[in-house]
Amino acid sequence: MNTNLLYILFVAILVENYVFVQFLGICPFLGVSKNLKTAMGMSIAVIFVMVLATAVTWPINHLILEAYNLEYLQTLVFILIIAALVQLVETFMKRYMVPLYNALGIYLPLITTNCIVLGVVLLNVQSEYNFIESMVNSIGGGLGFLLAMFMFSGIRSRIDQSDIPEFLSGLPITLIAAGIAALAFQGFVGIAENLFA
Amino acid sequence: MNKSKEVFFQGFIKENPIFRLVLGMCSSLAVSSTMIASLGMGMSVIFVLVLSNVVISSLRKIIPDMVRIPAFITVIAGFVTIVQLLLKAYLLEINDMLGVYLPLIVVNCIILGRAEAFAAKNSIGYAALDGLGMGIGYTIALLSIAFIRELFGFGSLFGFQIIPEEYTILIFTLPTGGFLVLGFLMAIWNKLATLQGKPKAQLNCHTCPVAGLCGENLIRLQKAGEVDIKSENKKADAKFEKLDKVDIEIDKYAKPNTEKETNQ
Amino acid sequence: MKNKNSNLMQILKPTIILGLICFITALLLALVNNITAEPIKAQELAQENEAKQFVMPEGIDFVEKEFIADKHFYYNEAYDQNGNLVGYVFKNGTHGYGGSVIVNVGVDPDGKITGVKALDLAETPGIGTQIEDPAFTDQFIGKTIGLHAVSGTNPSDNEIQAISGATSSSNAFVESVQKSLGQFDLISGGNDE
Repeated sequence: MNTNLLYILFVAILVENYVFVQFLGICPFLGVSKNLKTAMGMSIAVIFVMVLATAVTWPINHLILEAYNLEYLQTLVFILIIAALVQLVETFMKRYMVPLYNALGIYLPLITTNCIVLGVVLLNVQSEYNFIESMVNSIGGGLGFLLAMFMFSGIRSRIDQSDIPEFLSGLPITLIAAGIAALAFQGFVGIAENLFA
Repeated sequence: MNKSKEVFFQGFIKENPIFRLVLGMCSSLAVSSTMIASLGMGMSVIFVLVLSNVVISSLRKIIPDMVRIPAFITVIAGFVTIVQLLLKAYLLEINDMLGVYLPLIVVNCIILGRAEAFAAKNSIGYAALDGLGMGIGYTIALLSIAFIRELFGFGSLFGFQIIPEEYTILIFTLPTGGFLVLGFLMAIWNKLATLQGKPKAQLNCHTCPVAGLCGENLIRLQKAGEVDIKSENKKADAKFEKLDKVDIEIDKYAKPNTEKETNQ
Repeated sequence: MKNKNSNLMQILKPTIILGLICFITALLLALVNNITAEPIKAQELAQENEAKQFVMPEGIDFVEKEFIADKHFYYNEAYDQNGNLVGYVFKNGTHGYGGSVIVNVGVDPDGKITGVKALDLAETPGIGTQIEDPAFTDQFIGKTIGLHAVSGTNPSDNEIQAISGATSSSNAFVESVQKSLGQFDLISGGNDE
């Protein structure tokens, strides 16, 4: 495995964590990180769709949009592909993978409007990653999201049990905790550089 | 007249999309480190929100319910791309400042949320007013976050230096600063709301405007009990209890399967 | 029969309407794209030229050249208003922390740096953006090959004082500049023969 790919993976999970540093996928992060079960379900569904979306959009972008100077259609085409993919996966799961559908089905449609999926696809194009790099970046981004959700399902259950000032309870304290976590993730900055330089 | 006034002004404070409805958090955290970027983002969102609201409202009787969401997304993505092209052509610096968050307006819950909750059910005039009001409310919220972050983080406002650079506080410009400032502003908003006897801002299925997207179960529930983000009241809470029940039912349904697998 | 027909219509009608909406949107975008294509190109060119001029103040006209030998890269020759060659502009990047640092470097024909400017700054705001600070970038002007960053004070001739707290950004920046100087060597070496 070449170090460039490892670097991209490391950066995507920790240094440029999509939730804490790039602010993508904040809605599901705040909405469904309340308990471990839903948090994991959501993250796995996100990783699944993200990787699939990257695998489909990359060839379409390179072979059709860029080849015919249609880059201005990128946003439109990508979001429609993601929406169609989500629908397809949902239908497929419902028919052939019922247990999986029961676990993830609820979250799937919500992912269409989750900015983390469109964000990753667009950032892959912007960073001019090749196919493998794009895939690695998507997997890393998804794992970073999973990490954030996992961390916060724990942190929030602790918050629920602790005595916090009344006016901070609810979303504000969650945001503030996320801010502190973001500060911690800031610490990974620089490690990547020295690890893979 | 009264209704249009209410539709227009409710987005400013009472139903502020960021502080009350908790919509569009991603972009509000990401671009709020400077006033100029926030203003650019706010204007872009107003443009897209008003136009997509108008188009969706005027097409509301033509678009079949089945393809509602993809049709809305197409319209929204179209307007977002237009903004993107215009900014690239005439205000390249703003485009560079907003970066990937500009195309991401497509998935900003404010826009799809307003399309679902308001534009698809109301006439063109009200839809336009609602878009404008919500857009201005969003811009107000962004600017108030950016005011604090830029003033303390960079010591400037709209790029004009007010506090000497030696006295700036770096943390306000970092991602952490975004979370902290938004958290504290929301706490203040919550306090004001509770003083008036209103509930705190929260993020649940019954406050999520795109909850209708969430699987067949939720759609069925939505049809049974009409989701309305404006009323965070008993009806909504009852619905939320129903959601919990669905969750339990799913658990029951999923469990026999897992047991079967372990038996094998 | 009638029932079957209406069933078909139930599926067909939404599909057609959705297709129509997509088609109209795409058409509209093509139209807008046609109108904005020229200004966008002009804007991008102006921005690029401005970035080049920043590092090579004497240059007015920039001509892109390709270097093909054991290494392959693009660079720009800068000319003043009289059409005299006043130097070269190189663009090189390295991974900084949390993104790459791409630097425009202006070099005069004697191999001295005339200016440096970071482009596409994807660095952590605050710390990383300090590499745009003139206090840091002005150190490069007049320097020649063999640069390296130091964290102590009072840097000597070939040393660039790193920004405190952003050593790795500084290193990435200096490395990018170093690459450009290496490319200058290749070009000028080629010219001498």
